[in-house]
Amino acid sequence: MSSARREALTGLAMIAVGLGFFAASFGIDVQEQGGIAPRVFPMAGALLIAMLGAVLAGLSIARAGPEPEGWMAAEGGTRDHARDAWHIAGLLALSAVYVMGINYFGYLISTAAAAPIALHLFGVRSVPGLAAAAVLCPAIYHLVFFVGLGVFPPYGLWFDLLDVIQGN
Amino acid sequence: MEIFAGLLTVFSDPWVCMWIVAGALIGMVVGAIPGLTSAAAIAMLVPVTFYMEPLSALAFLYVIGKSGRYGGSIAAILFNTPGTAAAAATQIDGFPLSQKGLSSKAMKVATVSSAIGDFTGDLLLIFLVGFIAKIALMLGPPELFSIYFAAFAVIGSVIGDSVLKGLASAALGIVIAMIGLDPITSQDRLTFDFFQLSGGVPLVPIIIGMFVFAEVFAQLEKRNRKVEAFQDPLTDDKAANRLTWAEYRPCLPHVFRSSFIGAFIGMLPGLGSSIAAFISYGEGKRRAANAEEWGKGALEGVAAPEAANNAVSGPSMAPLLTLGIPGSTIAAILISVFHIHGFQLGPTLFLTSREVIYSLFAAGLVGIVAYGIIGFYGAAHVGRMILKIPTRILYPLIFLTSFVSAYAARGSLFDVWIMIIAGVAGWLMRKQGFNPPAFIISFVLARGAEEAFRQSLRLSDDGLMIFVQRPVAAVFIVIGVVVILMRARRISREAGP
Repeated sequence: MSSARREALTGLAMIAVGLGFFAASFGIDVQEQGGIAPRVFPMAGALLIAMLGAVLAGLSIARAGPEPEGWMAAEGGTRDHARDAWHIAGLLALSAVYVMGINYFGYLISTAAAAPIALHLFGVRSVPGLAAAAVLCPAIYHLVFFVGLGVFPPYGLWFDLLDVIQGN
Repeated sequence: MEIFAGLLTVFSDPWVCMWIVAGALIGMVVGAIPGLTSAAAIAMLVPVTFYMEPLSALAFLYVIGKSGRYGGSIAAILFNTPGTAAAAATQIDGFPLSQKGLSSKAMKVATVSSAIGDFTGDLLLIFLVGFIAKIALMLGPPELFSIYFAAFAVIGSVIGDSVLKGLASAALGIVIAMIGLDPITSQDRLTFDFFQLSGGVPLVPIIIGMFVFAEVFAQLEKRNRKVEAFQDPLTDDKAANRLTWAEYRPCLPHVFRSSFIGAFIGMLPGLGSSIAAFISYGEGKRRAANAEEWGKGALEGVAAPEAANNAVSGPSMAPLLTLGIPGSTIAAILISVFHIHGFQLGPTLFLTSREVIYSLFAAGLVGIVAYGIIGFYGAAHVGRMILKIPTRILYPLIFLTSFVSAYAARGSLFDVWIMIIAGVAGWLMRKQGFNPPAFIISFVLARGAEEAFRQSLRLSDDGLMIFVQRPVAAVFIVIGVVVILMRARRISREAGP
């Protein structure tokens, strides 16, 4: 995709975000007596985003020429992008599952599972290394943050290894 | 005089000294790792400092910021990749020196220049900040709002390459900061029925997301790219890399000029060290007797941007401490640390917590000495260590740390979700040329700006005219409008005929 078209799409996305927040700002009550309403700043900010998006999209569309020939031909580059996209999607999925895992199974088990997967996504293939990460990462983070700094650990709703270790 | 009492406080507490040295070391290493910035390190460590003594916490993070600014030069000189945006100017002459086998000499010049620049900036801060605070005490809500307005205009339009996207980033920061209870009427605003958002979007997870988590995504994308091989700095000829007074003396005029340029730019909210570094480099080259050598490995070309880059550090604290307006991303992050330790930022800070503030300045001076010594003798070792750190292990660990750091700030898993969302948003913003620092600084400023705006209108009998009727307010409104108009002119030039 040419940069002008990409910019135009970015501008359209900005318009969508701006208008979304602008519409949501109407949900703020205007009941304050005398002073300016609490919805003015959110509305002004949202409107500014939408307007800037419109300018960006307008400028980009005005500048956009025909798509350069063969822009899809760089097959290697496309394959690289697809692989990157899969890795990014994998990391994003891992992030979501990791937080849910902490919520239901506590910090230790979730981190023991997430650490080797994260390392694998970044290209670590050594099985002993991944196994060591599964043991060391939860232990070290637990000792530093929850023991050393005294942060209250997130206990799992369904099961928590920490309960078992502490004999509860 | 207060600064001497501050120095005494620092030296009489071994823990504070230890945290300063630790900050100098951590900042240098993190700054030298391409992709990671001192802002990212500070963001990850902010929750840790909630459990420390106030002075230790502030000194630790403040020194990381200073040392990180300097550390960026190590990567710029050795790996042709600036560790920070500001170090890109250092790279222009630093890497050619490295290619000539003079990387250690270049790093020594960077260290000495950074330390001189930082000292100059800090001394100006120490001598001027009390005066600025006295003036700030005389400002009312209309003047404060107009300063906020000018700050938004500068932050949105000057930082980054695209004016439109910079302003949009700042506007998004304003909108996101509006989420939560209205400060005057206590109504829910834009909370989308999430009760956790009633208190507003927390700053720490947003910062960790934007600067740390987003970088993990960026590094994952880059992991298959070909890695360039660089020469180990410890294999360079030691005799050729010794820095002599005769070699450094021609750098001094550039260092002093750049220090003042950096200090002046540092006082203006949002401009930051990269602008200071490039202006100083350009100015230095324009005035240099050996201008033709600049860009090919001139020591002066390393000294000038490095002095300016670090001279920003101290003065960027002036608007934060006196007005509560952060002059840089690091200053924006430090706001949460000040708040958590019970300090109310603004001109009254110099009435209520004068000792702590001057002790913090003293810690900054000690930090400069610490990173100066470590850098002068150890930068090559730091560079060598960074060459050996495999990113495939470093970034998964940073990924895991960002989760526990985001959680530790308030003990809330909701904050971890916010960190993830902010991380993805930050990654996308960077990919599309938006400006996360402008977003963060505006996010921090927005609530104060809104409060000042609404208070002004309550004071006013003529509505918005109050901003024109008060001379100081009018001046800052004009500055903001002029900045926007100048940038708008640039937009029309960018668009072409």
